[in-house]
Order: sequence, then C-alpha cells, then structure tokens
Amino acid sequence: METKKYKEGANKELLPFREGLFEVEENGKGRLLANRCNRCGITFFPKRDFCIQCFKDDTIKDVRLSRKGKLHTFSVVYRNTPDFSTPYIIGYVDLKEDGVRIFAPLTDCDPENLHIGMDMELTIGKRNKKASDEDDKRLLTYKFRPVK
Amino acid sequence: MKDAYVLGVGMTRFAKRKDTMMEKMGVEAIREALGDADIDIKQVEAVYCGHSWQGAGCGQRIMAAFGYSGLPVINIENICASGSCAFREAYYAVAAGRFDICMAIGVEKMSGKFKGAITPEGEDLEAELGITFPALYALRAQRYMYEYGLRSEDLAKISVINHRNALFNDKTVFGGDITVEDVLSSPIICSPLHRYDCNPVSDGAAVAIITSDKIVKRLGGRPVRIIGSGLTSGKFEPGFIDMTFEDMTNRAAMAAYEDAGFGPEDIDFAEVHDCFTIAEVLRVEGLGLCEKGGMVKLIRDGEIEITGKKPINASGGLLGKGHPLGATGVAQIYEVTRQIRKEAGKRQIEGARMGLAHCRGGSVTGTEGAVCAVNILREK
Repeated sequence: METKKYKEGANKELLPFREGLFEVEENGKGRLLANRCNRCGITFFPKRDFCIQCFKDDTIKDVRLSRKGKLHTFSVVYRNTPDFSTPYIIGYVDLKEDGVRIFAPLTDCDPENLHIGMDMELTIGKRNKKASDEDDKRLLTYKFRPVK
Repeated sequence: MKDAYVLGVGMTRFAKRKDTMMEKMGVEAIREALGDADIDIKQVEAVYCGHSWQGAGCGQRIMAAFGYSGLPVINIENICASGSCAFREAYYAVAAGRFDICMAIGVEKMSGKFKGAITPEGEDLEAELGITFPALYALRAQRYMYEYGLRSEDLAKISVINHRNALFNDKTVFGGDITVEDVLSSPIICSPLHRYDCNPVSDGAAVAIITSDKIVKRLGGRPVRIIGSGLTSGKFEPGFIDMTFEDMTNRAAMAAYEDAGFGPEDIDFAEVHDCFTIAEVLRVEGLGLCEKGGMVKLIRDGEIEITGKKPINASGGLLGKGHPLGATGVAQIYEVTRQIRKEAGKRQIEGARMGLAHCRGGSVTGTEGAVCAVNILREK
C-alpha cells in the first residue's frame, strides 16, 4: 500500500519510521493498518502473515483500525533513555471496536491531566527517538492524544 | 526421575566490578562452591553456564581461567532466567541419570555494557516507540495502583524491606537502611517508579553443585533436595489481557508445583524476581503465594518481612543485590540452600524447609514476556 508522504514545515517530507504500520490520509489524519482473521476474528497489529490461532495463511484480510479508544495505562519517562528526548509519555490505548490494545507515544497533553479511562484519538507526528543521522527522514510515527 | 540435590553453593559479593574480568568472578564462585560441597573440581562431570551478554564460549572461558577443561560445557542464554535455566538443565541431567555431579554457573558482568535503561533487543516495535524495561513495569504499576488502590508508599516499602534484608547479607554491597521518604524523593525514572524502585547495576557470579542420591550417600555433606522446576515463555496476547496479573509467572509456577508434587501453600519462603518494586507485587501473586490484589495487605501488614508469614527476598532480592542477569537465578539457589540449611545468620527465616526461586525476563512485542523459570528446593 502506498504510504502518503506527510509534509511538515517548509518542503520537508518525513517518512514513517517503519513501513506497513500506518498510512496518512488526504486530510492529514492517520490510520493504523492491521489485519484480521476471517475464521476466529482476532485482529493483529502489527499485521501478521497468518493467524496465530488458526495457523492458516489464507484467512487473514487487511483492516484499518478505528481512530478512537480508551487509555488503559500510561507512564511519563523522565530519564535514562539516551536515544530519546525526555520527558515523554507512553501508554496503551484500547480500541474496543477492533479488540486491539495499541502501545504508542502520547502527545498534546499535560501528564497532570491524563487519567486511565480517558478518550483518546489517533494522530500522526514526529517521533521522539533521536535520528541516527541528519539525513534520516524516517521520523514519522503514530501517537494518541486526548479527544478534545 | 532420580533424586537430585544441591550439595554446594558459592557466589561472589555482588557489586559493580568494572575492572574485574568476568572469568575471574566465575572462578571465585566455583572455588567457594567446591569448598562448600567439599569436592574436587575433577569430580565435576559437566558444566551448565547461564549468561546473556558475556559472548561466545562463556562457560569454557571460565573453566579455562579456573584451570580445568575438557569436560562437556553448555552455555545457556535465557535473559534474566539464564542462571535459573542453567540450574534446571543441570538438575534434569542428574535426575535423568546422565551425570552424577554437575556444576551450574550463573554469571554476568553488566558494568560498562549499557548507557541508560536496558531496552528490548534489536528492532522491537515498542522499543522503537520509547519503551524500556523500567517503562514496561511502570505501565503495569499504574494499572495495578488504579485497580487495587496500591500506593507509591507501598511500593517504596518493598524497596525499604529488601534493602534492609541486604544489610544482613555479606554477598552484596547494596544493602542500606533507607526509608520510604528516601525512596519517594529519589529521582523519578518513569512514573510511578523512582530510582530506589529499580535494581542497581551489579556484576557477579554464582555456582551450584548438583549431585545424585548416590553421591550424597557416599559423601554426606549438607545436601538440599531439588524437587521441582517449571519453565515457560510468554504467550501471544491479542486482545485485552489483564496487565495486573503475570500469566507467565503463574504457568511456570504451576508447572513447578506439579513437578514437585506440592502447592503454593507449602512454600515457606521465596526468592522472587524483584527487578522493580512492582515486579515483586505481581510475582508473589502470580506464584499463587497470595490471591490477586492480596499484596497490598501483605505489604502493609509486614508479612513479606523475614519475620512475616510470607518472607520474600530475605537475601535482599534484586533490589538489594543488583541483577547481574545470568548470575541471579543461581544466586537465588544459593540463598534458598543457605536458608534451608539454617546458615543464613541474621537473615534466617524460622521454619524455612521448602523454598522457591523465581526469575522472569525479557520482552518480545506481542507476547507477555520472554521467559519465566521457577525452581523449588526442600530439606532432604
């Protein structure tokens, strides 16, 4: 699936840090790419080659996950991460409709205002991990932020 | 399966030892274990060496440094449970009748290997997005606190107890008389975990000599019987799993209890993998030593102290000794053995007859974790 390039700032094109996890739609909004087994209904994010319950490779079809979920847990990371700029927030968000729990960075929020059970929505943005070199454009990632 | 025993144990004093070669630490621990078992190195028939980051041929390098070589040596890598697995393989080899005397070595030199917090291996997806080992546990801690009303003070108390236990343990430098306030005012690593909620960096080695019944009959000594072992890897977890319960620990424990023919109610004390304070909470419950959510009360009532009903980590645990990865599992065997023999001095638990050693390690995105091993010992 062609992944649209996300333009940030003047003439700067950023790429997903890894292919096949998400796409950016025309309106700039993100979508997580998953797949689901026809037989047993388990949803896989990231996508798998075959269902880990049925073990047959012809039962899986691509799906795009819903953008909204509830915050299951989170943590603010303050130190001891030389590859990342601190502080940053991470958490698990439950996408109830899809039956999937997603690990992601959390953004656009003050940790003081975060609480378990909050409504969260998917967004796309620059990842927090320091680029391995100056020309590295693979800096785009999915994140979740509180629903306004 | 035949009976198998721990006949001797030895370990280095766990500390940061940047200028000491890993092989030297292994040799120190071997010498002590041989002395404790009162056997000669030439009687050892096979070596099982558990480690994660010491490079190829770790066990052989230690034996060469010791000065005895030519025997079968196997190196075992299973992250935090490397030592537990080396011990388990030695146990099974003797129980299967393959050897009469085996040596299990656990070793790790951590100093100088990592900058900052340890992260999962390679291109693990969650690691790419910012997860680290402290963060993995912090996320579970937040959820557990939300569901069961556990407070930061309760977590801090685990650190206080384990550091105080370590004060009575000459095999660690990390013991201390810290308070709950000391823990809560130490820098936050990732909410809600502070520095004192996390184990210190440490280097070390531990060795156990495992023998058959035939050898025990011939040599006597102070053997402790090995009665059960369990090993699991993390299951895939699509959907919404319970983050407040360690299924992997539970499955490894149930396998060990079944192997031993006993249940959690028969365990008198345990050495539990407390890499972080919350880890001790999750694992005491996962092991079936109390019901889900039960640790809140056990902590507040002091029952996990050496003098309590469920003594946990009398050695000081990982919080009090540090966690030289491969060494930890065998260091737990060292403690369980000394306790059952009533040789633990000021750390001695009254009525310590059956003890459990538990290690759990690693992270693989999509699964609950990499590995969990449980070993059970009892008086002969």
